[in-house]
Amino acid sequence: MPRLRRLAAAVLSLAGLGLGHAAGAGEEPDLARWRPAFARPDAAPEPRANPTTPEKAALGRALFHDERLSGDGRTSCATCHQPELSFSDGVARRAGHDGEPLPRRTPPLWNLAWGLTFFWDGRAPTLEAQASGPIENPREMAGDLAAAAVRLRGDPGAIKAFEAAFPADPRISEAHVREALAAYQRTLVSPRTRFDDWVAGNEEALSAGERAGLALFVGKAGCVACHSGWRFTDEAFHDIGLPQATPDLGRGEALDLRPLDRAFKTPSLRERVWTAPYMHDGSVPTLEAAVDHYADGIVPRPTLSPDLPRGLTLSPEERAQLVAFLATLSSEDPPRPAPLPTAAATAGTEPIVAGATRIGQSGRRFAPGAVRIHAGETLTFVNDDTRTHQIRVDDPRMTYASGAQEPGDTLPLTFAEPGAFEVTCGVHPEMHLSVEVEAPPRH
Amino acid sequence: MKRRKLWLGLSTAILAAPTPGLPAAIAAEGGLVVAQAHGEHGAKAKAPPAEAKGATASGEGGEGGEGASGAALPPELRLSRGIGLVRGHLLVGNELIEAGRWADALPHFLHPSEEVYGTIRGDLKAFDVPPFDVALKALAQTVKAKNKEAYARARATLDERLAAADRGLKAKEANWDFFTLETALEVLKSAASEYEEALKGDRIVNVVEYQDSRGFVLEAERMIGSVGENLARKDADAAAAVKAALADLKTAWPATLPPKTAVKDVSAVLGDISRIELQLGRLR
Ligand code: HEC
Ligand code: HEC
Repeated sequence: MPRLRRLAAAVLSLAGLGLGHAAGAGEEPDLARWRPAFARPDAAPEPRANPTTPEKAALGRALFHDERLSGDGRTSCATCHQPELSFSDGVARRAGHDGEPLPRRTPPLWNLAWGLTFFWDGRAPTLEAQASGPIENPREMAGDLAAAAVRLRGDPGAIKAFEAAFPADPRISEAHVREALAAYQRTLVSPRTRFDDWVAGNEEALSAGERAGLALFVGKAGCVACHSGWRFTDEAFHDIGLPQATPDLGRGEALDLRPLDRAFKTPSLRERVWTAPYMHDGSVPTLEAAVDHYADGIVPRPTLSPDLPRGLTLSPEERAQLVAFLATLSSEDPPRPAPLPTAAATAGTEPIVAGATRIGQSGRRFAPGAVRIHAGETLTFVNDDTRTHQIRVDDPRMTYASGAQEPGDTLPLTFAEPGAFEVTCGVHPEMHLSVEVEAPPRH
Repeated sequence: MKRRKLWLGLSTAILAAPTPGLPAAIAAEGGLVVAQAHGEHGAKAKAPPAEAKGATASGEGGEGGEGASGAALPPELRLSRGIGLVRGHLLVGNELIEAGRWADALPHFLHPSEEVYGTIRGDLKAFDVPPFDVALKALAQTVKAKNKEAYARARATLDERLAAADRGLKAKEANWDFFTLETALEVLKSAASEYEEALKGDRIVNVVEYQDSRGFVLEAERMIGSVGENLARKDADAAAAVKAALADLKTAWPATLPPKTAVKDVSAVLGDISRIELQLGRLR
């Protein structure tokens, strides 16, 4: 009975898989210590100036789907950021108004409340600022925010919705359109997945193969160097050596810094099962191919991120385990937003070090993280890290952007005026230094 | 082996006495004509719909009803039948999309994961076939979104997964041509039971079931066509007989949208299918 024999073989190979899992389980004793690093927050941040109220989010949702924001009255945000497709559009590069593919892929919009910069190259500093980008981009919505606001003023429904959303000042203004859109997008929190159950302590939530994938992710494969935290992004910019059919310099162009050419923002890995194809140009069709890239596909060039593992070898089994693990960061059925309560974003709670003027940057951290100095004093940034940094101050009273600050470079920065300032890094926006500048001491 | 004998005996019975009373007898004997199990649109259904998660190979409510869920089949045949049913759904779903009927197409993209996948989930590993439930669901999302470009891309991804499933099966199957024919026959059996569900008297009252059965017949035709030359080399007459019976069978599904009155009744459909089955022994 050939059928019987084949059945027996099948059963045997299943048993073999089972054995393999048992052996794998023995090798992961310290995975549990990673749990806190991936714990989900219980509130979503909101800027003090634009708190997320239900009315504002509801207005933002309506505007997100409102084609009147576009020049031709036929395009809304949801035309490209389709809710059914995790707020992306399922294609590599969507055709713009002129019929030609847009330069970059439409990213999904999950968990942007925690974003530090927006767009693949981070050129927008806030969601509020981001919103006018697509509306006024001639190749996207080809609209005009001011004209759109005027159109909405003629709509009694819109007037009511703005009154509910902005009771203190119900004007239908460009700023309010942007704020409502931003508030809505801050409610697009990705739901809990099996991985979150594992983080919460349920060992069985992940299969042995998936745990092996996690072990690779935080271990040998080095993915966690960039895909870190519960959203699996460091919010930083890296060149990961993708072959580029059409050159796109990404962060390098946005900051006009050559060492950052071809660096793009690390995408979150949440709900990625639903958002193929991948990468800024949509050039990678599947999660399998994304994993293959890190082992076989990296194009060597001087701009490669120092955080990128080199010479990584992964067996077919290890690749499958990584893919299986990545899938646990996605819902098993098409996800819907799971909004969290919001809370005003709190600035760093770093202890202030008075008088310190030497600022280290090792391990992508300013050290100390908060200083108090006097006006006229100079901070010295010492790049004792292995990565390229860029010192920035983006403040109406003082704007400053250094060049590419390579490892070993030392950079002086004088604060002339009193006030509270924030220093960040243009490559690693999560780096943060609070500078309290006091009036100069009287002699 | 037992299964095949039973079915062959049954076909003989159909040929011998194609009477209106027959379907009941078939139901009793071969389990071919059974209760409709579609939770969504099969009004008569009492069987629970296949669980998207956790359904085992023996899970109830597979496409074409419980008795035809494939539970009794050997795993390789159950798996390849499942792949065939998925492809059948995609075929007819694609016809509807090409006609711009996105909403009508949607059920055909939801059924594979809701009803078929559960019957084969347990068999995938044994044949080294990577899971593809997400690819199915992601494809259905593009149909919900009525996004043609995204649909085409997601479709290509899924087709690649299904091709991998074919490879997994092929690697373990010594007589691929015959196995394909056997699978096509299983898919046709499902078509017959869907067709029966679609009919009330001589009217087609359930369009989705009609379309399901159309998709299955088209897929069975594709499968048989893919090995047609090899089969003809084994026995040209038998292969020609299969082709002729298939052509007769197909006339029951003249278009994606059902005809006003049914072209064939269920026993005529079953008769055509049994003509194909009768040739099996000569094409092994
Ligand atoms: C024509 C398609 C299209 C439309 C319409 C569109 N977007 Fe986008 N969106 C994109 C693309 C493409 C990008 C990436 C562009 C880049 O990085 O340079 C993007 C990026 C974004 C980002 C940045 C996400 C991140 O991870 O950094 C946000 C937020 C966003 N869009 C929101 C919106 C909103 C709000 C609207 C409506 C006002 C909108 N988009 C309209 C295609 C579109
Ligand atoms: C050096 C930092 C870095 C490391 C290490 C890294 N990634 Fe990435 N990853 C990125 C960046 C940056 C992108 C986007 C690149 C682009 O679009 O140009 C990305 C994109 C991805 C994507 C596509 C996501 C999307 O939505 O497009 C996946 C999947 C992914 N990485 C998985 C992994 C895995 C698995 C590993 C470990 C093998 C890994 N990454 C290691 C930085 C990194």
